[in-house]
Amino acid sequence: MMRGIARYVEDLLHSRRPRRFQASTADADLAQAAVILRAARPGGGAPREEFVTALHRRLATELDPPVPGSGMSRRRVFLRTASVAAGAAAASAGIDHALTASTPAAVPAPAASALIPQQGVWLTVAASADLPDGAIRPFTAGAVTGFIERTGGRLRAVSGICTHQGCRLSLTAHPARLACPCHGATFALDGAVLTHRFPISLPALPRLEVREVGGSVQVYAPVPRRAL
Amino acid sequence: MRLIRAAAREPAATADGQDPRTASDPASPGRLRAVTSEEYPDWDAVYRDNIGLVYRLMFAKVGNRPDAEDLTTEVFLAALRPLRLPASVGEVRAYLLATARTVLARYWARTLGHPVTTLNENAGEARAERPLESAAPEQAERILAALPARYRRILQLRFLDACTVAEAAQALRISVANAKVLQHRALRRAADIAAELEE
Repeated sequence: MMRGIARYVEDLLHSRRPRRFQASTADADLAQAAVILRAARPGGGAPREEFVTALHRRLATELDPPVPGSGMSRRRVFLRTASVAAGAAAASAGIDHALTASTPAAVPAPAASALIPQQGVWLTVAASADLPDGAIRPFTAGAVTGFIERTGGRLRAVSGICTHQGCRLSLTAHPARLACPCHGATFALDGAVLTHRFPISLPALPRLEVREVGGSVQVYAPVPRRAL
Repeated sequence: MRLIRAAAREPAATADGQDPRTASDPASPGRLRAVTSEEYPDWDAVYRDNIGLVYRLMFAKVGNRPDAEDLTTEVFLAALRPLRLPASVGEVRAYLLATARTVLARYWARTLGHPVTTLNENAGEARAERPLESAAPEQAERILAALPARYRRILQLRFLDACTVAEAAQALRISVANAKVLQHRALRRAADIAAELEE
């Protein structure tokens, strides 16, 4: 155990990328003290010019639209992005998050979409009697958490996870809305984005298929994979 | 009001000698910065005005350059593409901060499995009242000040003055083995003090 934190501290002191280890709570406290002290080094907080320039160049290739008619497809842009990330990872160790970070960029933000799992099952989320007209209920079904509403005789179910960074939404009354505790985005119960403070376009909440069978309200939801 | 305040805080960054602008734009000193107006016209302006801030913040939270560079990269890669510009300085900073917070949390989850440091400012408050400034030097000073003299000395030598163990041992007139033990005990004590200061 002490090997882990001792090596971590030595890595920090040598300005190396610290290696991962499974830290205990006590290790984490030591690591925090080490980070605070190390970060206080004079001049430590200024980025290297080479880094600033290289990242600017990388962003320019990824963000500036390709010249029309150059035949550069989205897919090719994505492949190039991926290879840049892979190149960076060869020198360091960041491939997992570098790829994660650039992947969403290659996929345009979807409008209101339906969540239809490849392998789903109909799962009961409420008894019909518990969902009279005008009622809203949270549910967890398989791998999905969301909210179901009966309004004007129609059933509607949406995901209950904020499309910004994945925080769980909570239901507010008067007016009935889904609010994100993280950054205050709000959604209507049909999934539409109502408010958010960021200068980005936030996708609407995905909707789920709903049905009513024999006194039960069911949604079509993915079954979680069994943990290994 | 908020935007004006955010802009007005800029000179503070200059005063402590860690002006992100000189670092981020060394080649074209004559270029006007976007922050003097209240909006960023394009991603280039967002980048130039915030690269120093985001990097400094990440460095303060992870304490090493390779990781700070990776995390800064991750923040800008994730944040810039969906940005709709022009947008106000305040909005963009809040968004960058929110992204940085998530990126940092993921980093600790995968490296040590604990949230060792967090970006704990509430994003709503932080966007205007607290620019992305690092509190690390101040925090370190308070910890060091609360330590017994020999503990303070060894941590100063090793963490701030970049001495090797051998050099630190020599300065303290002790053996290398004793210096290692002293360093470990000092760090443990520093961790306790850090926890107390947080309360």
